[in-house]
Amino acid sequence: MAVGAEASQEMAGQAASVLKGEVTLTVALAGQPNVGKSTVFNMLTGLNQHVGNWPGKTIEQKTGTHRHNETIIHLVDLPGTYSLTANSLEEVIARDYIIKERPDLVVALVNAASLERNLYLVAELLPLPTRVVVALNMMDVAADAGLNIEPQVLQAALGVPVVPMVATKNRGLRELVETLDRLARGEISYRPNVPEIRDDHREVLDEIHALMADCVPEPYPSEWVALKLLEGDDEITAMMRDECLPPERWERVHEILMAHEDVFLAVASGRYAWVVRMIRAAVTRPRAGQITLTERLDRWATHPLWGLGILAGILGLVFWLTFTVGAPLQDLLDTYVVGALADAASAWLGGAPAWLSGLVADGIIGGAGTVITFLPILVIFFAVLALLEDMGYMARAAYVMDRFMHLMGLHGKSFLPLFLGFGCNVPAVMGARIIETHRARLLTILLAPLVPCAARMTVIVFIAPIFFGKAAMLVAWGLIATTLAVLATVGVLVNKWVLKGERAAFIMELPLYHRPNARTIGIQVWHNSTAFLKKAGSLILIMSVIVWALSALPHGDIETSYLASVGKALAPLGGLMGLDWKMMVALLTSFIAKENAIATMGVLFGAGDEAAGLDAVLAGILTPAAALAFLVVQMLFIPCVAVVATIKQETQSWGWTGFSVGLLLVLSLVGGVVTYHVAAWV
Amino acid sequence: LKSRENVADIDIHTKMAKVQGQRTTLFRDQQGDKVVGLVTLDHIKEVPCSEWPTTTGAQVMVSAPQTRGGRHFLSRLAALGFTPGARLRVMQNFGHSPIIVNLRDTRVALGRGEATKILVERLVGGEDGCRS
Repeated sequence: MAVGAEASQEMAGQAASVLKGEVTLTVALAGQPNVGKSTVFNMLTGLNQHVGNWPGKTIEQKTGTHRHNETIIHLVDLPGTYSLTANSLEEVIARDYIIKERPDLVVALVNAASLERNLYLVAELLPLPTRVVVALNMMDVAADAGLNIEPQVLQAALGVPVVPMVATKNRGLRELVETLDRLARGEISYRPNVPEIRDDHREVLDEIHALMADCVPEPYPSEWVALKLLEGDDEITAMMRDECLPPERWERVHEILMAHEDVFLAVASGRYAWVVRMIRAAVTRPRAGQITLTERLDRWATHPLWGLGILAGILGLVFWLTFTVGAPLQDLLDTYVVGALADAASAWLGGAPAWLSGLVADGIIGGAGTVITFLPILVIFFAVLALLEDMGYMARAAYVMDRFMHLMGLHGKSFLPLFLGFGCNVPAVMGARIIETHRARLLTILLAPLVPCAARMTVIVFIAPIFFGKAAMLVAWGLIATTLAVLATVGVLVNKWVLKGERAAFIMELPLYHRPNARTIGIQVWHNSTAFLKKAGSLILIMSVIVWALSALPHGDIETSYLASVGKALAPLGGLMGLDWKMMVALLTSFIAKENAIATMGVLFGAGDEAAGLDAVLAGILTPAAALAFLVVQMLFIPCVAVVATIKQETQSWGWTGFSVGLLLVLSLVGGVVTYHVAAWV
Repeated sequence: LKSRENVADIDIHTKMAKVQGQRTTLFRDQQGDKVVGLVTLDHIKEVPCSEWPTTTGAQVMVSAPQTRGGRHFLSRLAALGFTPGARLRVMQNFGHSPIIVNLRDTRVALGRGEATKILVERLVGGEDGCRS
């Protein structure tokens, strides 16, 4: 509530300067999903924006500024929501912001191509105390669908400014800003046609309102609270019951509510009836029998069989891009940037103590190198994800995969981030952002490290041929299949025992296909990449330095280091899997990066960095059963430092990060022991 | 657009439920006989646009949804436009994967489990049937 007080003081300050001169306006950007909200936001603010989280929430908050003559618009992007009833965290955030922070204006961004459903949110926004401007986006998509919309007719009906726009082509944005400016300066009249509850429920609403109007806490509008009670809104109900109303009065309110349990449907119907009245004159529809492009494309894209084929094709293309463009770039960066830097640092620090040059070259530059070399692959994945999302394809991919993800209590939407994990688990964890519900997002993040990433594959590719000869390919596929089976099992179990709760109902809008916007995609990629560099990057760097220190201290030699001591302490555990302490240390160093396991073995077995001699040494000391056990552990082992850091960043919780690490540690060790014994017995 | 507001039709069903005092009786009318044409959404097959409007059954009407879906679910559905009286058209229903419907100018994918909780009434004919 302290925040609310601050905001209203700010409001008072602004009100004084509203008429002329320099003005700062706080404008909230509201809208349903798939209305081009991020395009509008990016167009207005460019790179002049700040991405963070809503206070205390894991949902992204974007704010930015736009300057128009003497007006500075401070734009706050609200989460995309279909309504303002507390069905999801996003809806609570959106309405709390409008009610408690009192922005000067709200832009209700609506998709002209599905006006009827989109104006539902406007029907919810108008009764709130903040003035609303309706931005009618995607006029081109509506025209393509054969809809003829007259914005001025809609404006007359709604009584609030309506601005037609095509944000992707930068049309109408200037007019929107001008309208905001003029409305704030009182140059445009504002007489909203606020939807009223249907007459047959007016009485009930008034009855409830009368019972509680005097004790509705600031800054909630009391009639709005009464309506939300009638709609059965959990949050408002809890607030009135626990904090506001004396018990005996709550009893009476509760009685009335129980007697009118179905009213929420009538309230929603009433809003839609209002919407239909609003658009009746403004929209002319095409004649019947017209088949749209979206319908034609969806015959294939959402077909149970062809849809899967198309998805497989697209994913194959992503893989191809990663390996033909991403991987070589990664190598180039590693050799010419990171390697050169490390060499230069060693040369420059030639006279300094060995620990210092080690710290700089191996610890800091090595750690930073890990971060930088991730970038090409991350950028490719982010770009493809943003492209598919912007085109409207993402919802179709989720649709065809839903059957399979259902088993784990997830939606089809979780499939895409998990798929990204095959390249690298970091974008997989970050990609989980596209999932709406907190529970499903968390489960997806927990499962992501179980997708075998490219780095783990390289370890398999190196070790399997040494022990299994011609069967190596079979072993590799077997390991991947096993890992995925473990993933599915863990998914089912975690869903059942840990993250209990209903799978959220599968209701998903399939947006119309439209041409992607390069600027939106570019800014999205830029933000995701810089967010990774800033947040996960610094954590990766710190952890790399720590692990480096453990492997170098106290004598600057890994064989006598603290890490080796840990490895030796773990030897009895390794014994259960047929692994000696050196192999355990190799596992431990794979925490920095999975492919490190091979390099560490090289050092410990005295074969140098040349892997040529290592296979002979390994073949001598490991039984095939132990090698298989090692590979199983390697596949399931705790994720690398980059993934752990990203999990922390995305879950905002050390608890869940610890859970993920602990779960994988137990899984991998149990898997290793079981594999060793079964394999030795066979 | 003219036949879009079928609020009156729905009130009949809600009242029915109240008269009987039970939600399950949504399937029955006041005399306790089955109401013809009320089925759950998952039973509605899609009809290709080319056959419209000579074929009936492509367009359905959301009747008072069964409330066993839980309030949250119904509230989400209502926000998306699944309110009593709304007209929708089934675009895809293979009998297994999720269903795709078109209502209020929006294509919505709906899990089968969810579809079984929505009670609909078949409509015969109609002009605005094949629009996406």
